[in-house]
Amino acid sequence: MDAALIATDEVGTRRRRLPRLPAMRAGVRWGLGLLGLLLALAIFGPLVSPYTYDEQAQALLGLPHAPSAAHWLGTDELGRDELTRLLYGGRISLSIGLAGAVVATLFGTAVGALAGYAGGWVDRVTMRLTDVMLSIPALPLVLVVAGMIRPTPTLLVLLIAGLIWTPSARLVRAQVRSLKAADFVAAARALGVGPLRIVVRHILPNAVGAIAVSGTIAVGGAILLESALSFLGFGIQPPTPSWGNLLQKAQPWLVTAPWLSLPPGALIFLTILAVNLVGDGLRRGR
Amino acid sequence: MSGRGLFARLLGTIPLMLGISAVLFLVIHLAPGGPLDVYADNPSVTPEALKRIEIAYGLDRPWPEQYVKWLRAMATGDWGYSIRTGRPVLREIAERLPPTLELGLVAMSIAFVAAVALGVAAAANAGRAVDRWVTAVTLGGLSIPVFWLGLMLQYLFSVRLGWLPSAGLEAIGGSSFGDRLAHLVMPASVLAFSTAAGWTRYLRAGTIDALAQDYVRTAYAKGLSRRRVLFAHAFRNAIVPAVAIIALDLAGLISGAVITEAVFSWPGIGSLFVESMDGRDYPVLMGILMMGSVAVILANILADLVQAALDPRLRG
Amino acid sequence: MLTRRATLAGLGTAALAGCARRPRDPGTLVAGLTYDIDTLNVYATGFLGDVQAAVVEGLLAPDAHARYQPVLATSVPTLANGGIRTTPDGGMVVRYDLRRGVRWHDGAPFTAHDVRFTWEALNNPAYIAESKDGAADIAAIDTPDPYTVLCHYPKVSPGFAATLFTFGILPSHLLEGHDLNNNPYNEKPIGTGPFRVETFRRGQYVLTTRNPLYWRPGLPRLERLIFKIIPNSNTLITQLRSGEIDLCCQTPYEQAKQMRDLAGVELIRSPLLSWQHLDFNFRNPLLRDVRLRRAVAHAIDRDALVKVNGGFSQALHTVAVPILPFHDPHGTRYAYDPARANRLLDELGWRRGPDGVRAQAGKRLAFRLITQAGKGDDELAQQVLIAQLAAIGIAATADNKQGIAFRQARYKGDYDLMYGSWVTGVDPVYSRIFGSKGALNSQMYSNPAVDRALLDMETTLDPAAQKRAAFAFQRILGEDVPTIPLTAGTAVVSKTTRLHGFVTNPTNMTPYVTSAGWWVA
Repeated sequence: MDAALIATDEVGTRRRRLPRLPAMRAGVRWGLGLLGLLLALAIFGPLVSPYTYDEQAQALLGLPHAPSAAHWLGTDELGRDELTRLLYGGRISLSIGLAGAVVATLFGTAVGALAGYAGGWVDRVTMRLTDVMLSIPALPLVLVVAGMIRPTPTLLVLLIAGLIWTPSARLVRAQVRSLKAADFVAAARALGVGPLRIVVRHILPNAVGAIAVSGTIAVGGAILLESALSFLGFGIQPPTPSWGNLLQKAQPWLVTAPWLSLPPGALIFLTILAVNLVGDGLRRGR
Repeated sequence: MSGRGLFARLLGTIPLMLGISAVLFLVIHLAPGGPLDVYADNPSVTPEALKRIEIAYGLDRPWPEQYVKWLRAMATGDWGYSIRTGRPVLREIAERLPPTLELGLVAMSIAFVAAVALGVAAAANAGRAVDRWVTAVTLGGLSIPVFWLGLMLQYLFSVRLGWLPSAGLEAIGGSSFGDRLAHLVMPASVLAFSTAAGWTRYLRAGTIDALAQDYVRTAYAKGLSRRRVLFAHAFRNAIVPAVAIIALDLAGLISGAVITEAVFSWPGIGSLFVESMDGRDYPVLMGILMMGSVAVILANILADLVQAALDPRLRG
Repeated sequence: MLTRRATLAGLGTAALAGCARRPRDPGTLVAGLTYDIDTLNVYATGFLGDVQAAVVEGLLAPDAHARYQPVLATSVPTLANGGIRTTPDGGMVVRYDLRRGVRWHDGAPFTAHDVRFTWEALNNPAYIAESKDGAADIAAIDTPDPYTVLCHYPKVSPGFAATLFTFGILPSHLLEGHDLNNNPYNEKPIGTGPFRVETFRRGQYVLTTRNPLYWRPGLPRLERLIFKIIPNSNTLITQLRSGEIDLCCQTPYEQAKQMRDLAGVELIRSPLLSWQHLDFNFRNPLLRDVRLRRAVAHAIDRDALVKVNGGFSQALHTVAVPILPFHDPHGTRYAYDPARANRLLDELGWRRGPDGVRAQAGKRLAFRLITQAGKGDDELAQQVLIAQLAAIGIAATADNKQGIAFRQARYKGDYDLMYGSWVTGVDPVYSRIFGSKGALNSQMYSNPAVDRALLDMETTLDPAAQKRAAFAFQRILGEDVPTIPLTAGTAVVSKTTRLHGFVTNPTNMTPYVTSAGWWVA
């Protein structure tokens, strides 16, 4: 998924001949708006709800109950309000997704800048490293690690970041390499400015486009990965809800309580959609 | 790529594979617990018996030694025995490979045809309704979680409508082609949909790019029809950037679509992996991961070859 | 959001299939298994031996009331009938008289040699198997004639029939001299049972057919018994509903809850020899206070635990489950009384802090409660327990681990509280769990009085003495509360109403042990 979006980026630099579609700008607006809405729901929703996410209702124990006036999205087997759990789960999924993406982007940017600027054997070695990372089948590897070590949220963030940093590295490296040949860099070097300063103060600010794009790719990837892991039972552990593990809990009830499966998946879908809209928009230059 | 170049390239993958295998081995053996934990609370297995089993499996040696031993065995084709079932790892994998390949190849074929059709159509009508529709659908396909899509399909087609069987490979005691097909439809669709989304974008971008080239304008000027230009000339170059991603996805087939197989109880490599994980069945886990990695490496080389064949500029 | 192609394919298939229900063939029964079989060798499998019970037979088998019945032996050896004879040096000799005229599936005759071979094979350290229980207890076996087996035990062992010879006899004519670890027998076992394995498709199904050479006249009544492997829970319900499966002997509670109103399907509660419990780890000094443990016992509402899992299980107040003859129905009971629990904790000096958690002298009543991750029923019960403990000011946090990691944590005592279940055989060996040197005693619980009572219980062949010792043991445990028994294990059998002759079985031999007598209307 992420690679597909990279390709459109590399091609995008030549696509100035295409008509500037007004839909693109609208796309970014929609994406940001949707993202904002989801964040607001996740942050304020649980505060507004009359229930807590782990509040069990004795009378409703045993079976999930259908949506009702008291519980808008129904309850689960422990009588807990699904809507509250969904919103609280949003906090968890979104924060892990964002944190994972931030860590991945930072790390990827650092590696990419290093490889792109230094060139030579440093570049070759780091690219080899990313090759190794890309060659190992991702999900199985993550499953192995997550299945064997108790995944605390911090560990989960690191695990996810560890898998999705390579596109950032690639994008930033490409950008840094092309910027390296620019005049202002040559000027800075002539003035005796050190390489680290050049990269941080001069090159990276001009690479913000690539960094932002890779960041949005990372967010989508991180959220998807977190929910996939939780869905398989290796991510966030109960009773803490996350969109992924809510779907996991909903799976055995597909036949008799299908209303449990729709909301979490829909929210994951909308979040990633929003992120992709923003990413697409950034790529096509707003 | 010349024959010698190819050989050099293949040779160069060896250090890569060694690196990968070392990383995998380390990761798996660093984890707490081991395959013999299953006997931990079995009172009839005495400590002496446990020790004997440990020695038999070579689990008492320091891990670098275990790694070298494993490496040597792999090189000679001995992939070891599954600790869970006692059967050779290669046999376990070989048994589960056909369902995975069946699912994967069918899905990829559907995805390819769809991607070509949609990608080219979108590119040829860039900016118009068709393009916007395709962009929206691919956006959806990239955003939708595979397991959710699978669950929704199961609900609709198995539970509510009863048209398709919800899980499994086939009915008991031998089955017809129609039955196999019915079981295959949903998992293949789910896999195809998410894969096609990415490929379509690549192909669309590549086609747009190709169509903007000078040689295309020349062809139009010479009076060739749009269709002829598209498929005889532009397509070859349009597909070049997509080859890499297609090859990678094909290679990913080998490790099995873990999630899709979980949702649909598909008895392939993905589910074998998850089963082996709980039992810390190291030999099987290593076998699957190595196989997947080798597939990716070979796919990369294959992609380079295909790209060079399509675009002479990339040769040498 | 399907591609056009897939939609067409789906419609086409629907036309082909015509949503037809397969016509029901009264000679075939399809059973669903919720786990993926690792091996069909009953001694080596990590799961229950469902398929094996229909294919392989042992000398004895436990019935629905957990009492042994003779199968390949002609009678159950007891002190009374002379089948068991004690020796002056504290040992015993068990004699089995074997049934004549029994044949293996391939026609070869079943003899005492097979029994002896089974013991030798299990005793062989080179054979890696899960269930070797009982083999090492026998010092020697004599077979004076082809239908008599004499087992010499150096120590009296009342639980001698638990595993060895009950699980099944191995065919010596096929396996003698061969490596059992890697043998076609593990994929296609040859036994003396009512059904023969025809095909084993890994991850999919096992097809067994009627054994025409079966020694019980006129049986089995079914022509085919098919075991379908269905780990996906939704598929289980869908197939029970559509009639593609007729029987599931260990229906997960989560599915059973959803099947109460299915036409043509009935749910049967089958009590098991297992029970669920909350254990205290004595490594934690706070938990060594028996008064604290008793307070916790008063905070537990077993009805909520039963309800959350569908109402199928049964509340339990002592470790010996009701189906056992020495179950103590009048033991020490800690009634659900949170007010009392709160008072007791107040008296002990534990005051509630601002966060609701009790503390004193800088120590908080905050504990790690572990259970096995991935087992939905256990995780639900754990949540209920956490809420009930929170109600009396104890903060329990879930710290669940997957399979192997969980076993390790339990083994090393890496927890404060544990919710789990124990399974025993017909003659439970409680000393393994509660004895000071018990291999499964990860709680570090040690009480010499308990050790003495258990020693008495596990070394006598006299049922009356056994019962007395068992009652004493349960009484001490009730006072000491090292563990709180919560619910008695109950399996839910979902079966089609057209299946007759079905009998439940509380042991790990599974109900398939009586599959010869089943028939479908």
